[in-house]
Amino acid sequence: MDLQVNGKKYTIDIDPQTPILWVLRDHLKLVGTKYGCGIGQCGACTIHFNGTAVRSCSIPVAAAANVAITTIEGLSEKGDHPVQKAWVDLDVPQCGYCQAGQIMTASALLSQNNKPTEEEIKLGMSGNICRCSTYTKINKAVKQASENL
Amino acid sequence: MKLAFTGIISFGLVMILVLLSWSPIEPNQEGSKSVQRGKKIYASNCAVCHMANGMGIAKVFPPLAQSDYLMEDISRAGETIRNGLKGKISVNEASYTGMMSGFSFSDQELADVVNYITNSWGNKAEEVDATWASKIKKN
Repeated sequence: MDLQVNGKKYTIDIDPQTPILWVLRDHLKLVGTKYGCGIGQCGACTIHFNGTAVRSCSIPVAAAANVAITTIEGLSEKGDHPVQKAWVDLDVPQCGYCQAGQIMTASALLSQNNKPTEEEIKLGMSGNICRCSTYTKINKAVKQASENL
Repeated sequence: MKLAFTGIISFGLVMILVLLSWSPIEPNQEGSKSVQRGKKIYASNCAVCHMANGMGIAKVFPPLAQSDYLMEDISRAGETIRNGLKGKISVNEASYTGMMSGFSFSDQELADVVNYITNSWGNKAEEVDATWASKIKKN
């Protein structure tokens, strides 16, 4: 089947029920997207599906036909998306495992609402779990990014 | 003359009262605290699949926005949230065969999230309460 990931077209021969996460990681070698819980509950595997944040572990690749997929590798050319810059500036990650998913959720949130309130940020980011519990910094970085869009 | 003046004043006062009582916000959208609490529960637990706009993902996660399956049986919605769902369903003439896990919500949380999804994105239904939710048993 044909896929469009980070602006590039790929043709792969694969079981259509394979979760997109494993297509990205094992077939396309885009390993920035992480496996967390595998049941769409933690947010580590978040990617953009036509600009909307989704959990790639829970979506079969069959649903990705004619969809523009963006992963953390394709969010910006030089890692300089305002969310990524805020992440570095505020030294957000601790272990860093969840950050690709956090950044993908945050960037999708800001593309739909470029001036979110603190409450909207908290709510919008609430589906992404950080086991190091750096939520204060995460939310602060999203706020800072929103001011630099 | 005096009578006409009094009439104009009275009409003006009535108009002011009408304008003050008018609100651009639909009561079902923002007026209910239950719906507002449900919005937060939805964002943390449901939006991952059904999306923040309730549209789901075509062929994978069914929509809740203007969903015939959701709105034709609110009790079934409560049971689905509490106990999950497996097998084929038809939503707005499209088939879905995925699986949804149940959620361990309190009775109030279940009522709140049901009130949110049944009163958002163009959906409209009478609100339910914790007593209603208490009748939906965990399997």
